[in-house]
Amino acid sequence: MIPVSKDSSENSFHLRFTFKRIINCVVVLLVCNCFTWHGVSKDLDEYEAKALLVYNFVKYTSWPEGSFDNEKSAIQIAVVGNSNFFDSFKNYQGKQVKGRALKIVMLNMITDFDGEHVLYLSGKWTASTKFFMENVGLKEKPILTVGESEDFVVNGGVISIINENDHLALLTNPDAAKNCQLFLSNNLVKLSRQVSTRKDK
Amino acid sequence: MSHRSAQIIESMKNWRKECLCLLAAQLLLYPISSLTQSSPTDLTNLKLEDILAMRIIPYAEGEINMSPELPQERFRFAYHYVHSTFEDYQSGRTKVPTSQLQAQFPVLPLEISQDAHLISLGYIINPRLSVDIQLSYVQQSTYHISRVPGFDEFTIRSHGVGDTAIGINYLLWRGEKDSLHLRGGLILPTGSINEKGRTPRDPNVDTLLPYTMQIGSGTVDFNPSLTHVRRSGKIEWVNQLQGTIRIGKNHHDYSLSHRAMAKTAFFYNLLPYLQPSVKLLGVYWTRLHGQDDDLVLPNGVYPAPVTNPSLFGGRKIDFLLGLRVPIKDGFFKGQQFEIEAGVPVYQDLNGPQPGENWRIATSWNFQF
Repeated sequence: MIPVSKDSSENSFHLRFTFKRIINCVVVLLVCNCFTWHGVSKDLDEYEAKALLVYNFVKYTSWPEGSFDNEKSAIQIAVVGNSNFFDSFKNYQGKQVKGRALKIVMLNMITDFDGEHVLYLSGKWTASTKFFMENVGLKEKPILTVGESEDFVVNGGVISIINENDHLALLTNPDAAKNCQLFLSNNLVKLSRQVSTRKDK
Repeated sequence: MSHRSAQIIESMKNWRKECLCLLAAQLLLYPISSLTQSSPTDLTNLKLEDILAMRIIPYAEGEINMSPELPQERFRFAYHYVHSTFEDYQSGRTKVPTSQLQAQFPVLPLEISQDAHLISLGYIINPRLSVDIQLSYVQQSTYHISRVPGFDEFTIRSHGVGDTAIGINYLLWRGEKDSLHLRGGLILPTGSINEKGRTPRDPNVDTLLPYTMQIGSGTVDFNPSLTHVRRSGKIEWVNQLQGTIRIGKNHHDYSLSHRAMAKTAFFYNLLPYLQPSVKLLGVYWTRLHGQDDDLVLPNGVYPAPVTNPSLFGGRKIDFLLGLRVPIKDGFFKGQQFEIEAGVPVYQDLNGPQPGENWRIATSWNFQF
């Protein structure tokens, strides 16, 4: 039989006590940090991600000559519909892209559209693409139209951002871009699924 | 110094070490968590493929379109079911034993159970303004014990169409992440206040049931509310102040309690289809005003606590846990289910009055 000294039993008690304290600390930290730790995975708010994508579209798109008043004219982005998207986009106000400042405007009505370079139709507005194309004359103007559904590009929009299994995916309509005299970079086109304009019977 | 004091001081020292360890670890963790919550403009260096590879948090349901042109889906349908039970008697914050109450009242309701089915239909007039109407169907039952021969134990039930609420909702203000909504509502007295049943008052004919067993209030009630919503990342925080103000008295010469409610709720967007919630609900309600003389015995005695208008009112805080499930695709796309259950964590009642034991509520809503 191995004799157990008083010291070793005290040590064992202290070890158990310290171990218990460590476990307590870990539990408290886990509880306190569970909300922030969830953010370690690369998650983005839907509208923040969409705003970021549109910011990138501007970088990857070339407008034809004469689309800007002068070399320093701002690139104007008009947002129609969801104000939450506009709120996310406000973070990019004044940011420089290709030597031009970004100017973001929220349109209350589509009839307020005044020759901006990018037109974002958010949410339910995407469904009305055809109407906008025909009535606002977007078809052949050098305007990068961005929507949020497959129908948007099928009906003549240039780029659509859709949600697929909690990831954003891109659809582009190269014909529509060509009609608007816009040049989309190969990188942008390669990362998207290409869709053609639906021809009405 | 005694051995006990030394132990306490040693334990406090240990806790101080523990707290310092926690603080140090938290300070180490903080930069990690703050780095992962970069502001959008810090993300501009990301490549397109990186953005497309990121998991996104879909925008919460119920978004309000600020454009003056109308959304396609202008109607909103909602169904709510609420079940609650009231059992243990309290006076102030102290529980009152049944034996004491039995000596005081000839009839004692022991368990009150309420089920409310609420159907509401809303219509969006414009993105800032909407109106709605809510119809209700109420079922109630109360199990009693009494000292009256032949009525040792009995249960009375009532059910029927409840009061109808109409409301107008206005978006007062919308900021980057916050919005403020004002609601003006009226509750119309479509529910009965003439419910009768067989009680010990008269074993041969149905007599008028007490206030708690009536379906409606019998008065036109003003029901305003002010709601603040903050959506930030994965958290949705809702704060609400609501009041129910009874206007005048009903034809039985009483009015139910005026009521003030303050609510705070946190929804966490854990998964796109799963939003757990924590809610705290504080309620203050007054005693009844006036009295229905048909509920008082000829000698002026109140046969049961629920027939005495002074034994109503109080204040309480409820703690509720819930789960919201917004359906994003498939057959149920656009619909939202929610379930919540809670218990009062604090009750101070003008009693003796049966306190609420627990409550469960479910809801289902969609826009069309």
